[in-house]
Amino acid sequence: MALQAIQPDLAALGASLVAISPQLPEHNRELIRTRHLTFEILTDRSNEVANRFGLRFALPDDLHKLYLTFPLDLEKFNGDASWTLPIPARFVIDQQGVIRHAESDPDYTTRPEPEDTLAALRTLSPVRKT
Amino acid sequence: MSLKAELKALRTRLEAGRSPEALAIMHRAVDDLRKSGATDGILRVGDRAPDFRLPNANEELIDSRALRERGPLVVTFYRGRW
Repeated sequence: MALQAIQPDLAALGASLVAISPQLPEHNRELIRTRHLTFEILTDRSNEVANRFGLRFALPDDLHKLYLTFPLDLEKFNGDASWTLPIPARFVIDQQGVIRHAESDPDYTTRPEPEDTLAALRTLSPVRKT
Repeated sequence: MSLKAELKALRTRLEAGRSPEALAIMHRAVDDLRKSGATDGILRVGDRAPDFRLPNANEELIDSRALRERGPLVVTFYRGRW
């Protein structure tokens, strides 16, 4: 994940980073091992937390069937029969719990620029990296 | 890996060798999601973020409130490593 590259900047700004997906912890262990991630990656069963952020969606039937042929059995992968996923998104949350920056895009091949996340954090934090 | 390189790898992994029919289904699902209004309910700047307690890779519960006490919190949602 490109987010790993900005970990030192996040730490300098006093910020924590967590990544959330519905996949089971065993897949997160694999991700940490192969990509050398140093931030927390969390398992959101049935996308319950994603739903509270307004991000959960159910896969259309044709996509569900297509994934099974890949083969990608989301039911097994996520330990959940709902065939739901989160819309990819990133939020910067201040210490009071208010969202200060929000980005999302249903296109799974795009991602927010890490620099935009850092810029949002710099407006919150008195600590600046020189 | 840079973001650009990472996204190229992601697209290659997901889409390489897929039939035109398969790609059409994958792309239509993204378009439909965009048009469906499903994105209208996503929390915005100024909204209160829900707090959460979720298990990490070692199945230890991580509490967003404890993280917020230490400083700002960046939360990224992604579909999975596949």
